[in-house]
Amino acid sequence: MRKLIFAAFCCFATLAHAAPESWNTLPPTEQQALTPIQAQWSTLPEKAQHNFRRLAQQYPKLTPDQKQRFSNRLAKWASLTPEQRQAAREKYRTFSQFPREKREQIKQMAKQNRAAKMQQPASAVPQVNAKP
Amino acid sequence: MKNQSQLDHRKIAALLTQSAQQLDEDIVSALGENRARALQKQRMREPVFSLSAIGHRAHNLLPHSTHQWVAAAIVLVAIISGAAVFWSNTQDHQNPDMAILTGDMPLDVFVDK
Repeated sequence: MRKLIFAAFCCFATLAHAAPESWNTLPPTEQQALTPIQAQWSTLPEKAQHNFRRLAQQYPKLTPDQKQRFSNRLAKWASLTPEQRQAAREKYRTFSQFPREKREQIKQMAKQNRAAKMQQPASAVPQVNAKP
Repeated sequence: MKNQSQLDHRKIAALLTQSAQQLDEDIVSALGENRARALQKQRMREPVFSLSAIGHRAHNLLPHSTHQWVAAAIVLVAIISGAAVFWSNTQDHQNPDMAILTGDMPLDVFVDK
Protein backbone atom coordinates (compact mmCIF):
# COMPACT_ATOMS: atom_id res chain seq x y z
CA MET A 1 0.00 0.00 0.00
CA ARG A 2 2.79 2.38 0.93
CA LYS A 3 4.57 1.56 -2.31
CA LEU A 4 1.41 2.37 -4.27
CA ILE A 5 1.02 5.72 -2.53
CA PHE A 6 4.67 6.54 -3.15
CA ALA A 7 4.38 5.59 -6.83
CA ALA A 8 1.23 7.72 -7.20
CA PHE A 9 2.99 10.65 -5.56
CA CYS A 10 5.96 10.29 -7.91
CA CYS A 11 3.67 10.21 -10.96
CA PHE A 12 1.76 13.25 -9.73
CA ALA A 13 4.96 15.18 -9.03
CA THR A 14 6.34 14.33 -12.48
CA LEU A 15 3.14 15.32 -14.25
CA ALA A 16 2.78 18.49 -12.22
CA HIS A 17 6.32 19.51 -13.12
CA ALA A 18 5.96 18.62 -16.78
CA ALA A 19 2.68 20.41 -17.42
CA PRO A 20 2.94 23.98 -18.77
CA GLU A 21 1.53 26.58 -16.40
CA SER A 22 -1.65 28.40 -17.25
CA TRP A 23 -1.53 32.17 -16.63
CA ASN A 24 -4.47 31.97 -14.24
CA THR A 25 -2.72 29.46 -12.01
CA LEU A 26 0.30 31.72 -11.45
CA PRO A 27 0.54 33.41 -8.05
CA PRO A 28 -0.48 37.11 -8.11
CA THR A 29 3.07 38.28 -7.40
CA GLU A 30 4.36 36.38 -10.43
CA GLN A 31 1.49 37.64 -12.58
CA GLN A 32 2.38 41.22 -11.58
CA ALA A 33 6.01 40.72 -12.57
CA LEU A 34 5.16 38.95 -15.82
CA THR A 35 2.34 41.28 -16.94
CA PRO A 36 4.36 42.55 -19.97
CA ILE A 37 4.36 39.02 -21.41
CA GLN A 38 0.86 37.98 -20.37
CA ALA A 39 -0.40 37.96 -23.97
CA GLN A 40 2.31 35.58 -25.15
CA TRP A 41 2.52 33.45 -21.98
CA SER A 42 0.51 30.51 -23.35
CA THR A 43 2.71 30.37 -26.46
CA LEU A 44 5.99 30.21 -24.53
CA PRO A 45 7.77 26.85 -24.28
CA GLU A 46 7.62 25.15 -20.92
CA LYS A 47 11.31 25.74 -20.22
CA ALA A 48 10.97 29.45 -20.99
CA GLN A 49 7.93 29.65 -18.70
CA HIS A 50 9.95 28.02 -15.95
CA ASN A 51 12.80 30.51 -16.43
CA PHE A 52 10.45 33.50 -16.42
CA ARG A 53 8.76 32.24 -13.27
CA ARG A 54 12.13 32.03 -11.56
CA LEU A 55 12.79 35.64 -12.57
CA ALA A 56 9.34 36.68 -11.37
CA GLN A 57 10.01 35.12 -7.97
CA GLN A 58 12.94 37.51 -7.55
CA TYR A 59 10.87 40.53 -8.65
CA PRO A 60 9.62 41.56 -5.16
CA LYS A 61 13.22 41.95 -3.98
CA LEU A 62 14.10 44.47 -6.72
CA THR A 63 14.39 48.21 -6.18
CA PRO A 64 11.78 50.46 -7.90
CA ASP A 65 14.33 51.37 -10.61
CA GLN A 66 15.14 47.74 -11.24
CA LYS A 67 11.43 46.87 -11.37
CA GLN A 68 10.92 49.59 -13.96
CA ARG A 69 13.79 48.28 -16.12
CA PHE A 70 12.57 44.71 -15.71
CA SER A 71 9.09 45.63 -16.91
CA ASN A 72 10.44 47.70 -19.81
CA ARG A 73 12.78 44.96 -21.06
CA LEU A 74 10.85 41.79 -20.32
CA ALA A 75 8.64 41.78 -23.43
CA LYS A 76 11.59 42.30 -25.74
CA TRP A 77 13.60 39.64 -23.87
CA ALA A 78 10.74 37.17 -24.24
CA SER A 79 10.44 37.91 -27.95
CA LEU A 80 14.05 36.85 -28.58
CA THR A 81 14.84 33.36 -29.75
CA PRO A 82 16.60 31.02 -27.26
CA GLU A 83 19.79 31.38 -29.33
CA GLN A 84 19.62 35.18 -29.15
CA ARG A 85 19.09 35.04 -25.40
CA GLN A 86 22.03 32.68 -25.01
CA ALA A 87 24.22 34.98 -27.11
CA ALA A 88 23.17 37.91 -24.93
CA ARG A 89 24.10 35.97 -21.80
CA GLU A 90 27.53 35.23 -23.25
CA LYS A 91 28.02 38.91 -24.01
CA TYR A 92 26.93 39.84 -20.52
CA ARG A 93 29.43 37.40 -19.02
CA THR A 94 32.16 38.88 -21.19
CA PHE A 95 31.11 42.38 -20.17
CA SER A 96 31.17 41.35 -16.49
CA GLN A 97 34.78 40.26 -16.81
CA PHE A 98 35.94 43.62 -18.17
CA PRO A 99 37.85 45.90 -15.77
CA ARG A 100 35.69 48.42 -13.95
CA GLU A 101 37.01 51.41 -15.96
CA LYS A 102 36.29 49.64 -19.22
CA ARG A 103 32.74 48.83 -18.09
CA GLU A 104 32.17 52.46 -17.12
CA GLN A 105 33.44 53.57 -20.54
CA ILE A 106 31.05 51.23 -22.29
CA LYS A 107 28.17 52.44 -20.10
CA GLN A 108 28.97 56.04 -20.96
CA MET A 109 29.13 55.21 -24.66
CA ALA A 110 25.81 53.41 -24.40
CA LYS A 111 24.23 56.42 -22.68
CA GLN A 112 25.57 58.79 -25.33
CA ASN A 113 24.34 56.57 -28.13
CA ARG A 114 20.98 56.27 -26.46
CA ALA A 115 20.72 60.06 -26.25
CA ALA A 116 21.73 60.30 -29.89
CA LYS A 117 19.21 57.65 -30.79
CA MET A 118 16.45 59.67 -29.17
CA GLN A 119 17.34 62.56 -31.46
CA GLN A 120 18.20 60.42 -34.52
CA PRO A 121 16.35 57.07 -34.54
CA ALA A 122 18.56 55.54 -37.25
CA SER A 123 21.83 55.74 -35.23
CA ALA A 124 23.52 52.54 -34.17
CA VAL A 125 23.76 51.29 -30.59
CA PRO A 126 27.21 50.03 -29.45
CA GLN A 127 27.35 46.34 -28.86
CA VAL A 128 29.58 44.26 -26.64
CA ASN A 129 31.44 41.59 -28.55
CA ALA A 130 31.38 38.15 -26.95
CA LYS A 131 35.06 37.63 -27.89
CA PRO A 132 37.15 40.62 -26.70
CA MET B 1 80.03 -26.18 25.88
CA LYS B 2 77.35 -25.80 23.29
CA ASN B 3 76.41 -29.51 23.51
CA GLN B 4 76.32 -29.25 27.29
CA SER B 5 73.94 -26.29 27.05
CA GLN B 6 71.71 -28.17 24.56
CA LEU B 7 71.78 -31.20 26.77
CA ASP B 8 70.79 -29.12 29.77
CA HIS B 9 67.86 -27.68 27.83
CA ARG B 10 66.81 -31.14 26.74
CA LYS B 11 67.09 -32.41 30.30
CA ILE B 12 65.08 -29.51 31.61
CA ALA B 13 62.42 -30.05 28.90
CA ALA B 14 62.28 -33.76 29.67
CA LEU B 15 61.98 -33.08 33.37
CA LEU B 16 59.21 -30.58 32.76
CA THR B 17 57.35 -33.00 30.49
CA GLN B 18 57.74 -35.75 33.04
CA SER B 19 56.55 -33.45 35.80
CA ALA B 20 53.60 -32.29 33.74
CA GLN B 21 52.58 -35.88 33.10
CA GLN B 22 52.64 -36.47 36.80
CA LEU B 23 50.36 -33.52 37.54
CA ASP B 24 46.68 -33.95 38.23
CA GLU B 25 44.38 -33.65 35.26
CA ASP B 26 42.61 -30.63 36.81
CA ILE B 27 45.87 -28.72 37.16
CA VAL B 28 46.88 -29.56 33.58
CA SER B 29 43.54 -28.35 32.21
CA ALA B 30 43.74 -25.17 34.36
CA LEU B 31 47.24 -24.49 33.04
CA GLY B 32 46.02 -25.05 29.48
CA GLU B 33 43.12 -22.62 29.96
CA ASN B 34 45.42 -19.99 31.42
CA ARG B 35 47.80 -20.40 28.51
CA ALA B 36 44.93 -19.99 26.04
CA ARG B 37 43.74 -16.83 27.86
CA ALA B 38 47.23 -15.36 27.86
CA LEU B 39 47.58 -15.99 24.12
CA GLN B 40 44.17 -14.42 23.49
CA LYS B 41 45.16 -11.25 25.39
CA GLN B 42 48.39 -11.10 23.46
CA ARG B 43 46.44 -11.23 20.17
CA MET B 44 44.03 -8.46 21.26
CA ARG B 45 46.90 -6.09 22.05
CA GLU B 46 48.36 -6.44 18.57
CA PRO B 47 47.31 -3.49 16.29
CA VAL B 48 45.73 -5.42 13.41
CA PHE B 49 43.75 -3.64 10.67
CA SER B 50 40.45 -5.34 10.11
CA LEU B 51 37.18 -4.45 8.48
CA SER B 52 35.32 -5.73 11.49
CA ALA B 53 36.91 -2.94 13.57
CA ILE B 54 35.64 -0.34 11.09
CA GLY B 55 32.22 -1.93 11.16
CA HIS B 56 32.23 -1.75 14.92
CA ARG B 57 33.10 1.97 14.86
CA ALA B 58 30.49 2.66 12.18
CA HIS B 59 27.96 0.88 14.32
CA ASN B 60 28.83 3.23 17.19
CA LEU B 61 28.28 6.24 14.90
CA LEU B 62 24.81 5.11 13.84
CA PRO B 63 21.87 6.49 15.82
CA HIS B 64 20.40 4.00 18.27
CA SER B 65 17.37 5.76 19.74
CA THR B 66 14.41 7.54 18.11
CA HIS B 67 15.71 10.93 19.29
CA GLN B 68 19.04 10.26 17.69
CA TRP B 69 17.35 9.25 14.43
CA VAL B 70 15.28 12.47 14.45
CA ALA B 71 18.38 14.55 15.14
CA ALA B 72 20.24 12.80 12.34
CA ALA B 73 17.31 13.40 9.97
CA ILE B 74 17.24 17.12 10.86
CA VAL B 75 20.96 17.43 10.22
CA LEU B 76 20.57 15.60 6.91
CA VAL B 77 17.70 17.87 5.82
CA ALA B 78 19.74 20.94 6.79
CA ILE B 79 22.69 19.73 4.73
CA ILE B 80 20.48 18.99 1.72
CA SER B 81 18.74 22.38 2.02
CA GLY B 82 22.08 24.16 2.21
CA ALA B 83 23.31 22.31 -0.84
CA ALA B 84 20.10 23.20 -2.72
CA VAL B 85 20.47 26.91 -1.87
CA PHE B 86 24.11 26.84 -2.90
CA TRP B 87 23.22 25.11 -6.16
CA SER B 88 20.45 27.63 -6.80
CA ASN B 89 22.82 30.55 -6.26
CA THR B 90 25.35 28.97 -8.57
CA GLN B 91 22.66 28.54 -11.21
CA ASP B 92 21.66 32.20 -10.82
CA HIS B 93 25.25 33.22 -11.36
CA GLN B 94 25.45 31.06 -14.46
CA ASN B 95 22.13 32.39 -15.75
CA PRO B 96 22.46 36.18 -15.67
CA ASP B 97 19.00 36.97 -17.08
CA MET B 98 17.97 39.05 -14.10
CA ALA B 99 21.18 41.09 -14.25
CA ILE B 100 20.60 41.74 -17.96
CA LEU B 101 16.98 42.73 -17.39
CA THR B 102 17.63 45.03 -14.44
CA GLY B 103 21.19 46.31 -14.99
CA ASP B 104 22.40 49.77 -16.01
CA MET B 105 23.26 48.68 -19.50
CA PRO B 106 20.51 48.84 -22.14
CA LEU B 107 19.32 45.47 -23.40
CA ASP B 108 20.26 46.39 -26.98
CA VAL B 109 23.94 46.35 -26.04
CA PHE B 110 23.83 42.61 -25.48
CA VAL B 111 21.34 41.62 -28.16
CA ASP B 112 22.40 40.83 -31.70
CA LYS B 113 20.43 42.69 -34.33
